[in-house]
Amino acid sequence: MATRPADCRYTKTHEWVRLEGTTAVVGITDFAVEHLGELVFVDLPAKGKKIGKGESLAEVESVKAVGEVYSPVAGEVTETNSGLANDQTPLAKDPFKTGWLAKLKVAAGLKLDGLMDVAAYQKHVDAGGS
Amino acid sequence: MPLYGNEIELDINPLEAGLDFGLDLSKTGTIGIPALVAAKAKGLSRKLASFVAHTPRIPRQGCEIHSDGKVVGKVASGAASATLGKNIATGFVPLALTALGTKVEVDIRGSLHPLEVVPHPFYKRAR
Repeated sequence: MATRPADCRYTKTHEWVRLEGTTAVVGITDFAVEHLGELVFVDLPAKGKKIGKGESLAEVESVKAVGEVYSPVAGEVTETNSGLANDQTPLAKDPFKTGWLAKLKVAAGLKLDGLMDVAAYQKHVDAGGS
Repeated sequence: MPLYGNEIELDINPLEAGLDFGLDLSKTGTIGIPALVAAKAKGLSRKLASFVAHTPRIPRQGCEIHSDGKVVGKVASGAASATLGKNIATGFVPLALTALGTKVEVDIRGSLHPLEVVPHPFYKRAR
């Protein structure tokens, strides 16, 4: 995996979020994808769904397990990467860009302070990631 | 292959799990045989069936099997079959639902997905 984006913030449960104005783009990291293994399905939320911080946003299923994706921010789902339900390749190969999972409209001025930056996330992964 | 904890458990008898080949029901002196003879005479209420899942999601152990809007059984084991290119499962269902081609549904994490009864074994290597 090439270097992780510095403009994202990361959670202990291996989600990433990138703020673009009042839109938060959410996905899972390369660590999560690698540990899930061969992906078979992605279950994404409906547009308009309101999600609280830390609530379940989506599910990513692999041959060996189903991983819950917890939303790093509170917001309302505006768009999802719905093609992933049929073809998980963008998520497997490019989890930080074309493999994004959902976009949420968030409160103006939202801060991502409680989340790790890319260096802190690397330390978390080096320590085992759990 | 039956797996203890999946296809075989304390409350599943070997007739239900399709393990008749390993039993000699004439040996009535063996512990358990009289109970099995009685169960066979009474008729089984459920049996292990093999299914193909018509969904990209994989049925997992414990997932409930539905028919006609009711829960009728549960998945014993489920997996992605690389050989068949489909997701497969074994599960206990009422005898009436074990005929080949029977269509039922499986509840995978809150949504229902189609299952179809297929022959057992799933695959026989041509010799």
